[in-house]
Amino acid sequence: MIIVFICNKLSNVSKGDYSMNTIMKLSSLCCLALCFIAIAAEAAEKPELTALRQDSNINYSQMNFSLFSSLYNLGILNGGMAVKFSAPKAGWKLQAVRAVGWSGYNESTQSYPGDGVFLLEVRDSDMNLLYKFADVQNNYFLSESGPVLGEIEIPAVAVTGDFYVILYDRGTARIGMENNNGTGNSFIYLGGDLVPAERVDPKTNETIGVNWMIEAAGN
Amino acid sequence: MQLYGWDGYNGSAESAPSERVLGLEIRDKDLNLLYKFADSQIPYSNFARNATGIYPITIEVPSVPVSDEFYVCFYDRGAVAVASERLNETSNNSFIYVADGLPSAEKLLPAKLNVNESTVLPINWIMTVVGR
Repeated sequence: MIIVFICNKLSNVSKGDYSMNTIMKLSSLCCLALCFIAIAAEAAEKPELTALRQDSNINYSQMNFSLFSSLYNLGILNGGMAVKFSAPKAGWKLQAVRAVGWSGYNESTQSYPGDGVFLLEVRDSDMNLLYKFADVQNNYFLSESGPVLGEIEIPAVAVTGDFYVILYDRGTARIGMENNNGTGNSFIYLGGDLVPAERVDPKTNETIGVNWMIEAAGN
Repeated sequence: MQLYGWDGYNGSAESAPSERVLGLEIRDKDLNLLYKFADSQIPYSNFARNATGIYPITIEVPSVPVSDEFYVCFYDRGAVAVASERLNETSNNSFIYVADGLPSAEKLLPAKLNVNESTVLPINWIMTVVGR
């Protein structure tokens, strides 16, 4: 993902700077245009991190998936899409969460949706909260042309054994849902309970396990 | 962390800013992420204080141990314009950070303003940190 933002290395900044001539610069809003993510390209740009997946593990471009929102599909604001992962080795640290998602685009008005806030949580196997972060969906899932693999970099979080990554979309972005091949590791997290992520086939009335297209990346 | 900025409010009702979410990161000298924070700009910027111009924006953060050099990265996301100091030569301490897509050695670009097609103006961001 390409993001441009303002950064300052601080060792030589002093209060005396304030008396000097100043200019104002409005910078990074326009740079949202650079935040688009090609799924394949993203994977190639992060070779140093090991990405864990709990879906069928086939290439996303080959996957049968749709987009899901806890708010719009289930009518719940505080429900999160949870995926259970297992740390691949002792000392493994989670450093990024990636998700296939899309905040949408209005073709008729050629406009993006307004900013809205989603929430990310990392919990251990007992659902104790390890990390929590809220941010605007458009910084990760903005696209004119459909879903992208958004990456949310986080400070390294040490995890052992099983752990959960939970995305609360709050209606701000729809998250990828593999429509079949459920591995049993995707859930709806609501009120402290984990409910298996499933859908009912409208034609056969069959209950089918689904997978959230959420990755945990670290090393 | 404190910087000087302006959210566009000039005293008129029409200029009252829409809520946006800014971002703040602290990274070590190798650009590893140590702390990350996002919030509305409203509680921090000049509008909430009925100030109509450039104003100090202060964001308190939990204690973050840092050693040697470190970076504070501020994402204005269009919420505030950040003040900068004009320089005669390229800054050694202020950058535009390109998070991904480039090798680590090329992620930090000198902070500058494009005056016109042939002229750029090196700058320092006006930011400070406080700790002990």
